[in-house]
Amino acid sequence: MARSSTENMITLMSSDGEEFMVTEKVARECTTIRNMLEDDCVITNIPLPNVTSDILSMVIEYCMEHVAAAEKAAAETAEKGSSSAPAAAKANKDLEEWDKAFMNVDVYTLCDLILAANYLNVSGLLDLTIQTAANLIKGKSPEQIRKTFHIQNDLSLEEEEKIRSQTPWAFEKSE
Amino acid sequence: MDNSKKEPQNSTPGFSCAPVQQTKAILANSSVSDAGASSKKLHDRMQNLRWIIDSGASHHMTGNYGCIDDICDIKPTIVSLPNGEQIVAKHEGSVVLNEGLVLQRVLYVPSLDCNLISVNQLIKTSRCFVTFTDEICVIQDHNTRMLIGVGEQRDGIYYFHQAASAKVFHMHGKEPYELWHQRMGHPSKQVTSLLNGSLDLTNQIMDHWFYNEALKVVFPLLDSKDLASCMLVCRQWRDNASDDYIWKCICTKKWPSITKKPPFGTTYHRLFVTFCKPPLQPPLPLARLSLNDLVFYIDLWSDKTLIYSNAVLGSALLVGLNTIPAGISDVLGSHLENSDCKMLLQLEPKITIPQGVTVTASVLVARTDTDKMACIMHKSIFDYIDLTTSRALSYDYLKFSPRHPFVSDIRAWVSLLILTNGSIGMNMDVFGLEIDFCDVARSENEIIWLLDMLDWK
Repeated sequence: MARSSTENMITLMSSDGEEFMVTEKVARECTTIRNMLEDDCVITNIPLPNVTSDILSMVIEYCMEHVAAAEKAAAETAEKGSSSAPAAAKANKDLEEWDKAFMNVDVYTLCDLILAANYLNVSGLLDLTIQTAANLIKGKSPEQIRKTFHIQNDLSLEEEEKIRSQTPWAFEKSE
Repeated sequence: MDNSKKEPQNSTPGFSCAPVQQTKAILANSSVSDAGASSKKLHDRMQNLRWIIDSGASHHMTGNYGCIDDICDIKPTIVSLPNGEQIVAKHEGSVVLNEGLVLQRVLYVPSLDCNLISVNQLIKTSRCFVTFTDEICVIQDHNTRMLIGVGEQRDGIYYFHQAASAKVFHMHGKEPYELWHQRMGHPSKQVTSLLNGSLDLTNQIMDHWFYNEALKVVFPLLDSKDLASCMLVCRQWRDNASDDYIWKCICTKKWPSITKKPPFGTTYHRLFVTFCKPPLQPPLPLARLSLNDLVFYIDLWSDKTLIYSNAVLGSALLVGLNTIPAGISDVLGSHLENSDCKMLLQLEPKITIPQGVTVTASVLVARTDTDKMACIMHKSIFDYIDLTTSRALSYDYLKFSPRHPFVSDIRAWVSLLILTNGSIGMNMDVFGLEIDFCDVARSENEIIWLLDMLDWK
């Protein structure tokens, strides 16, 4: 693409040393990186010691998709003078579908994505991931949650009893 | 230094006990007097200078021209000394205290006979933080937390110690992983894995830690019931779900005004549990009174004629009927058998009440523990016959002690149990009498509590 060559390219380096070249626009989706760029505009190589390469590549994928969607919407608005509501709604729906498919990951990846989104401060991705995680928890019994998140119960019987006695309202139905 | 003296508080923010002890060890190895030996490679001219770590000084200052490097002229600055004198400083420069710590912009104040390190300047320009304990003062790099300077308290003054510069984070294999994770600002696995050489970490612990940060952002999205489930998942989840910040989120959704003036003296978790999900009513404690202490004085009148009169122990009323005669209605039968506490009295022989007379009842009660009496019912008319349960009913409002204001509209009921024998109408055969307080009290304990509240005279 001719256009992208004129854009600033930024190298993001994951914790395991892999380098990712992205446009500045995509990188700016991450508020943490945007702040770095604004503090010092000559940075082109940003080490991200808290993010592994597989997770970073997913974050970048998300940012690229959302930047592209925003650009497309902006271009349409510019062409027609005003954005047409149905087209915008469809684009929104497409993006939502894409998000939904993007969230089809195992809980470990999801957890890593939450941490990465939190660290890089990608608000859209953070909202998406924590909502997905919350949905995995909602309405489940402790045993079901343990199964979903592959967690070993290390609570002693006394500790469990204490929690139950403090929150009897939460377990009325199940018992 | 006497290490057996009381330990510095562990709670110094961002600073655990370990570095303090280590610092003490450094100080113990080389006291100020032999500082020269261990810092030979440092500027010799520094040796005799003692720098005071001073939180009251606005700038670093020295009266010793020789120790300043890169000295340059500055706009004359007035320096106020504690003795009220004012001196004009015209030069400043940098002073190398040790490899890790260089003071910038140190004012040369000619007549000053001490050397001051301004805590404020130090924190601002050297990106470090300074921690004071009762014995020492520690200067650490803000990012790496490396020890870059030490002060020692003598006579209430913290003197900078020339000799010390060390990486505080000397590793002990026994240190728990979580401590490292916190010290280092919750780094990723990658970073903490650098510690692997000395820390025996299982993957399980890693995963646990790894989760924590994620749980902190996910939990605020959950409602109280889901959070309660999360508390039961495992210890880590419990600890995160107990965090009051999360309950603050829930409380502020319910009572948004709570943020305007946060309540103190309580946690948001307690607030929520107490007012939003009140625990089940605890059972009524046992009453001080007992039915054994009570005597009921029961009088029944038919028009002006006394038809029944008896003084009965409360405990006797509880025993119930000796015999339930044949021929009572099924509904009355099941009423007598249900589990509510009833005070029943068998009327023997049966009383026959002719049609058209007005029957009234008076009931007094005496308690033997205080020798006082109270009125339960005064000349109340049996003006209603409940055909389904075959009972003639009368009631009166209980009069409560002034110590229980606002309590009213609670009735005492006395009912006559009627033997139907096919028809109710002409003459009624009454075989029993029942006293109850079914408006509010259905168990023996509740009844006693209620009676205890009466206006005893």
